[in-house]
Amino acid sequence: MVFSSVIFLGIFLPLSLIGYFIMPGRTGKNIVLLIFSLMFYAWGEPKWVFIMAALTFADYMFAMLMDKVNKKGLKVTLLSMAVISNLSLLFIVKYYNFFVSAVNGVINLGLPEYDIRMPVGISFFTFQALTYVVDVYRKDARVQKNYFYLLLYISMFPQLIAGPIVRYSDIDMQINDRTESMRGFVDGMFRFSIGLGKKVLFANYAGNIATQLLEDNFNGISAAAVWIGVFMFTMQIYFDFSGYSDMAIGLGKVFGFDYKENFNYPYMADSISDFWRRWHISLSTFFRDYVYIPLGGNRKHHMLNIMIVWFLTGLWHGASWNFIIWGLFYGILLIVEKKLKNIGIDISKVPVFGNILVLIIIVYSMALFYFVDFGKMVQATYYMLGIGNRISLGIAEKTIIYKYLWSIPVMVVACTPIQKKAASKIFKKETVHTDILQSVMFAAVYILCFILILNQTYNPFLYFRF
Amino acid sequence: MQKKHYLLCAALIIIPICTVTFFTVYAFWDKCEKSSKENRYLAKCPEYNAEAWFDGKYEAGLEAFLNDHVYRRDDVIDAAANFETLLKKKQAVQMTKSTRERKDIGTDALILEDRILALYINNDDITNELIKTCRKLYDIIPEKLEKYIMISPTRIEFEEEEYKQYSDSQGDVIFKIYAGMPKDVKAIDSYLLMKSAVGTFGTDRLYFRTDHHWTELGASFGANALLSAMGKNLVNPLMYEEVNQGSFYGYLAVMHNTNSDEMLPDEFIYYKNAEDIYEDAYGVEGADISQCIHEKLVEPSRAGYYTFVERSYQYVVVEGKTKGGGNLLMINDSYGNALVPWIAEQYENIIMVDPRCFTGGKKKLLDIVKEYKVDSFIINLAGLIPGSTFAGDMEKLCK
Repeated sequence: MVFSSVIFLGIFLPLSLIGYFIMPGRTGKNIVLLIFSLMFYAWGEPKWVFIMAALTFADYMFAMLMDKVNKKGLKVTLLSMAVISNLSLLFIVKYYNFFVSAVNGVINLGLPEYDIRMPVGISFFTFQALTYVVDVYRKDARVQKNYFYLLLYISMFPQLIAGPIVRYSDIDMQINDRTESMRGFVDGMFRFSIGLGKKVLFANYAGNIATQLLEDNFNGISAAAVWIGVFMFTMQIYFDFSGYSDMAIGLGKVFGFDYKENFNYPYMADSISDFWRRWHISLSTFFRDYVYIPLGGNRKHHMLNIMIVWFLTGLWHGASWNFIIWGLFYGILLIVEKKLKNIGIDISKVPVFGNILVLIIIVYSMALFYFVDFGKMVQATYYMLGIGNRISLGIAEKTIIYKYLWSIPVMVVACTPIQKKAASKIFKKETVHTDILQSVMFAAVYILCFILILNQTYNPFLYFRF
Repeated sequence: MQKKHYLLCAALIIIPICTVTFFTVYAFWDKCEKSSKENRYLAKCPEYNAEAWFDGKYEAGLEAFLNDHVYRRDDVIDAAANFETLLKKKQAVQMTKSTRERKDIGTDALILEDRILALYINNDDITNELIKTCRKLYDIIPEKLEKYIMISPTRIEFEEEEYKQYSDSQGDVIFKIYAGMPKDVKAIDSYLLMKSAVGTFGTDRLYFRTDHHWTELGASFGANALLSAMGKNLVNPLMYEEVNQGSFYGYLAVMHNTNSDEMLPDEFIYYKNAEDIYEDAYGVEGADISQCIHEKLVEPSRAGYYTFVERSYQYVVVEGKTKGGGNLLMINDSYGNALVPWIAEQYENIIMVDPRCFTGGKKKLLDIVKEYKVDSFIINLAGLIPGSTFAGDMEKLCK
């Protein structure tokens, strides 16, 4: 089930809100939330609910045992078993066929491929499960003695299928002890509407233009159209994913949870490392804390550690070479950036130039991300350099772009903190009027998005597939 | 912050949620089965069973059902369309690609304020493939038959230069195909006849503005080219009474979603002669084709004009008025269908084979030749077809 659907907005959300708020007591509310979360995940793929529940049970048992034993060696063994069981499932459903085709391509072993349909959001909930067992091992979090509460943490519907990756240690206490409030409800629903608006009003239009340019019109496409198409995809992926994160954070707030921010105006970054501090923060911090630092961080094999982390980051996004190339591309850029800094060259010190250069690199990297077909990716790169195609827009491309030309400056502004700063200037302090205005805006966006969803044939959630 | 203010805010949030819930839940009481606006049947509420649930089919079906049966759905969609119109910047000339998967019609189109022009994009490989396939097809046809080929140009060929620049020349391709045919195949030049007719009548009378076909008047010139080549009498459409059957938005308008207030619909005009030019017409799938001629051609539910027969059949047999007038086997597309009202009178039988649907292969084709004592054979296509899958479809007739 996706948030921007008739069934979610018209049935699931109201029912879950009613069920949650009429149920008295913390336990009761958690049970309601768990039931709705399982139903949410089961919608369309019921069999995976059982696998998720089984995997959570394995993690629950491993963590309980780790908590009980004192020997370090045994603890490490239990942790390894937990990590292997989580990653094995991820490997089988997400990477097996890719691995087999790569092996068969190099040394033809004739390994069979299987038709395995990847369950949505598996990368997100597997990583959440990993944070639990690792945090318990490190004693950063207490062991959860109630299996159903652990299942609730893993399956919580606001962030289940497209993140943010919530660490167990961040909401450990909130599962048993949190407070819902009118303020949280109003703020949370407003935040939800912002995310919904980002998705329906911006991401879908941007995605539509990107698809028309980069798919339907790719043969004979001009250099300008590739750049604009990839730029629109850059907009789509930001509004799509940050919109989903906004909706997740908003719904979390409604139910009394406090999720960490996942985006911080990433396209305003003045360096590549700054970009990754602002983009998909929960994933970059996961890799920093659970892979990069344990590998030795910047103390030993610094460059190798960076490349390992970015190889894995790319691979996390999908079982395809383009994602690996995309990840390694960022790994190399980060190394180059560090080396340049060491010799006194720092692009972030040149404000506008730094921002523009980083943005151009980000947009190009989105071409690597977009084209799953390797040949097409190479071709797009040539086209972007003006090799082998026209430079200026043709009439078919103009038709697609001019139709929604207005949206480009609007989206660009929406990617910056300008509107937030303007709002904070207008409403210098929080008053009754700001709350009422927020609620009115929620109503307008909610109804408008519902109307548009009915008429939109293009309504994908990009991060679902990860 | 006072509690009552929060209650007001909560109410402002809850009211739209309840409204959306009402609009959605209404679906379970909605009795509507089809949408005349979208020309389709609405999704039915799926029956629940464990297997469908586990497959995800039940859930997908229920979502489709809810989407289709929202309270006042047509109005909601109109509101969404109006909102999107507000956002869209209007352009004098637009070029689009169809979002639908129809390969037998040129999918690139130029959308102007008053008409849509299907563009012709030449592809030498496809043209050469068509030549090869036509030759193969003529090879399997018995030698004693008179063999013809006629490829007619589409509207874009006769448009102003400023629009023609987006399309390749069909004339060059047509004559290239003719030059590639075996010596015993006579090429029928409808191109020059159409060109001169456009000079006399104007493009709008010979071709539709919102559809990719020629009009009945336009088809009469194609028919005359064919009749002249086959030594038959020419027809004069101006001798017949014009009947306006009504207005319609053609396939191109529907395909490119422009059948709104932006563009006037086409008028379907036919000529009274066609009512009694043949004795009977029947499709091999048992449909009564005679019911589909003229009176039923323009129907809002059919998304445009389908030229003579209501849809594509494997083959259609038209019994003409002239015993001993000869039996003509046509391998044709819908352009060829439109010729029939003008030529059927002078033949004993016309058998129209649509290679896109024909599944009988070579054997069945030769059976038809035998059964109907065919003495003339023609491949009769529209000029834009060389850019499509037609060659591949014809290949199946040779196997």
